[in-house]
Amino acid sequence: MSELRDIIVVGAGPAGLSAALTASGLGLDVLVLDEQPALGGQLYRNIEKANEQTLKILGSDYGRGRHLIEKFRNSNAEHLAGATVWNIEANGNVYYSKAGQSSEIRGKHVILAIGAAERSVPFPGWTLPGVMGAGAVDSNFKSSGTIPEGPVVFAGSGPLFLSTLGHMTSLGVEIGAVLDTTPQGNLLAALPFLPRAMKRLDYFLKGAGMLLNLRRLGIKYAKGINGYEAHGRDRVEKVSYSSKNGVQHVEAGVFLVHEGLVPRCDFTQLLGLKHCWDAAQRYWYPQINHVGATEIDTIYVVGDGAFVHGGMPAITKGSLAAVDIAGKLNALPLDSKTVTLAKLEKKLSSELDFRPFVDVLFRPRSNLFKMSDQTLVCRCEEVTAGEIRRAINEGCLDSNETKAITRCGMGRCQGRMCGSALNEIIIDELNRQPLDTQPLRMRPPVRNISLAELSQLSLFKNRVR
Amino acid sequence: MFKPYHQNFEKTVTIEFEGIEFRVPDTITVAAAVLSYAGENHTSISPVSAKKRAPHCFMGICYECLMEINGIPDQQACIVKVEEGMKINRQLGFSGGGEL
Amino acid sequence: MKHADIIIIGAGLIGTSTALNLARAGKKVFLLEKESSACHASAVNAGGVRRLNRHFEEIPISVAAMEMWPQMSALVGSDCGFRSHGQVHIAPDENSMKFLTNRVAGVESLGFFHEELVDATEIKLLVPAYKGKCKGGIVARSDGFALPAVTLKAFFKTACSQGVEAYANSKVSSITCGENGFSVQTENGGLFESEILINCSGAWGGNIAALLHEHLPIKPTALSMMVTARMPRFLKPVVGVHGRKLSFKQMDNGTVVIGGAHISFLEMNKERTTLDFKEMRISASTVQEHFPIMKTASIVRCWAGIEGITDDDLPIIGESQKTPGLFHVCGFSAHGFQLSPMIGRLVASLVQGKKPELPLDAFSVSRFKNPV
Repeated sequence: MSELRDIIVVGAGPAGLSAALTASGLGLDVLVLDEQPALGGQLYRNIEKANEQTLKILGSDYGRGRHLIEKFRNSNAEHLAGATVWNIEANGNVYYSKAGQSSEIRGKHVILAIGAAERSVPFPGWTLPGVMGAGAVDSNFKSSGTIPEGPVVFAGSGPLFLSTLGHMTSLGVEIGAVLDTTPQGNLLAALPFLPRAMKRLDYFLKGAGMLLNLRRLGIKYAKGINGYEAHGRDRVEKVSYSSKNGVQHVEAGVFLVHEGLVPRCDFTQLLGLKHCWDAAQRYWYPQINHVGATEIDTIYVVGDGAFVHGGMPAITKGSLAAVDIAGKLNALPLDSKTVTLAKLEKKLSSELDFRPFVDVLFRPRSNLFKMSDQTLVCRCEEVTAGEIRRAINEGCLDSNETKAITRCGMGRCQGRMCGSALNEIIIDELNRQPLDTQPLRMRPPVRNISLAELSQLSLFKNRVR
Repeated sequence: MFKPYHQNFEKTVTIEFEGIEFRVPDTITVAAAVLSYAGENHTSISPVSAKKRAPHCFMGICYECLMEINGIPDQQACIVKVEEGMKINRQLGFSGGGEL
Repeated sequence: MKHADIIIIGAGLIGTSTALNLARAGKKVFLLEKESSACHASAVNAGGVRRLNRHFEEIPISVAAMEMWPQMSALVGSDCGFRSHGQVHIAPDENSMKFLTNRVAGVESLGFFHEELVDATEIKLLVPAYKGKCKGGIVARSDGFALPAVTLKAFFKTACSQGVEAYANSKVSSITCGENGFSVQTENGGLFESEILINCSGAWGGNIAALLHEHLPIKPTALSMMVTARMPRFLKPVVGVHGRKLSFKQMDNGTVVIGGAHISFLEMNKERTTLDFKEMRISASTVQEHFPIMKTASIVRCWAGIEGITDDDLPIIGESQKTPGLFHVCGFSAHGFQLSPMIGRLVASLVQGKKPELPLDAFSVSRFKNPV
């Protein structure tokens, strides 16, 4: 395989596929690296193998991916499945692992399209087997055709929470209870954004239909939930939850939680790029311009990894970056680049009509990260909130220092599961503004690789720096 | 913890989990196979407290699904697809601490 | 304008230890740090607590420092994670064994007996997982390792509790030297005065000296390390192999920390390090060759710390040749961690005009003017 490509796209979800097929359509040499075994990212996971029944249940938001992937298959872009990227350098060097072999490759440009992840929020019992992300189980259904065995308890908030709930009810999953954590004041705050959002009436109808369906099926639906815990010995057996009515319990075989999506900043943080803080959704996102370019000329960020906007906008964001790079690499004359970008930006803007309403409606509850001292924050190293608070009270001033003292974030996942919570504890304990805090540093390899694999790493013959 | 929703898969493969053979659809991940077809509730043991753990994120982030696949430890079962003849084992938590 | 007896630039372990000793001697001390105390090599180094294989000039200080490590709780209220599992340096061939034999004779002729020559059988007993070539080696049985971040935190906290005034985010922008002493200005607008100034700026030692137009031969160098996921315990002592770039230890929690002075790319103006994966590949091969048990070990993280390396790999300790009242205590060349509790004590005496318990003459900056 050629060592130097025009563009390396990391991630084969909506944004990555769109970027790749747009760029390759403009004559650029594109390689897509994706760690999943099949194309589609999380949204369109395994769609090429989906049967009619699955397509029907998951609806058009899923089915739409078929068309995109078909176009991608017909393009000249090359795709490597099962290729996990573990390091990216500012000069465009990308290191990835596939089938136990790691290699270095280089792009004139790298487009990061690694999407979003479910926000990781520690609570007592969240390490018990059977406690999973709601979106995680939705994705798992797409690739495996398996569904959770009930009683399944749902807790959380957000568009993906509702759509997963819809899918699971249609799949006949036995649902024990739905615990909605959306703060009840959000709706009022979101009303000013409603007129613009009404352009997507279909979303409202879908949401309303889903809630009606819950009622029709007699599923317990509790609003205004402000906390929950999972209980059990070797797996989750029971969920307790609190609201203004006090603490209640419900039996659970599986407990699915979802407190919104957050951009995955693994590589943008590794590269030391600037990040901004979104106060409404309480997350970091990389600073980019209107076409996804970062302060490092080589590196672009697209899709939900830039900001969580959902599937359709991700496709448009992917194209924007591809067109901009095509301009830089002289594959597209300036005037047609300008025209195309303007068209895409207009499209994106209308696709985002729904977003301000949704982002305010599903603003996370204010006690999201108010963990008890006993709560395990770091799943890998099993560090509790109490231990973290003690370290802060003894003088640790930021995430990285607290990590070095407590080992929170030092385990296998490199702080991806506990990083936000750790930083939120620092914000609370030291009364900081989020922007005055420093998220956990990422270190390569961003994904664990074996020592044997590292010792066999295939490097360029002529390495340039 | 999981069960198959439908059975109409184009192709199946045989895998071996802790010495027992199972026939599973060829498109599914190792983690999905273990939690549904093999009927298990956990995929690993915490190296710190030796408590049982199972996949949480299903997308390669949480590292709770590490299993030994074909003799190689620390494989992320939630992103590795099953293959014909694959041998899968749970790995015991490598508890640190204690004396040599 | 703030005034103290002594200003120390650099809140790494050397600076903090010096500050602690001066505060205990009743001096008013300002400790200026350009970022925060725990952000560079002092907190992210390999944590080796080693007398073994020291340069002969460093041995007296290293031996004295070693007496302090098991007593850290009394000194700074924390054991600093110190574990006395020993340090082993293996001779892979006859030539290195000959070299080490001579070395031990040399160490003993100075009156020190912590380095012990052992045969291959003893190495096998000490390091059963070692499968590389072995003709014997040297051992310091009560050496070991500690946790750098925990150590620095304990020193820093104790120093502050003893009255040291620490200023974070205070990068020094200019220093003037007048009749009444030094006046130090920081980028964030601070102005500090003192009679005595101590440069404990590690890899930045040359930059600080340059502010007073003095040249120190310190080369900032980024040294890489990697750490694995937890593994079953298979190793107690810290292991090095003669002539090979390998430093290898397993922590009590099962993780394995691999060093060996593999160099990373460094942009000093941005203080940014980029790991050189060609070097990390070599490091991984070296480890695998000597410890086959490591083949399936998962690498969780690689990183680099910025060290100040001098031309002769020895630290610079002593009064400036150019500016009286200015003391340089930097350039520890990636092996200052173990020495630091003792260095603080010696430097505190030195700057107060007292005779240090152990001679520091060999580390004078003047040595670079007349190379032997």
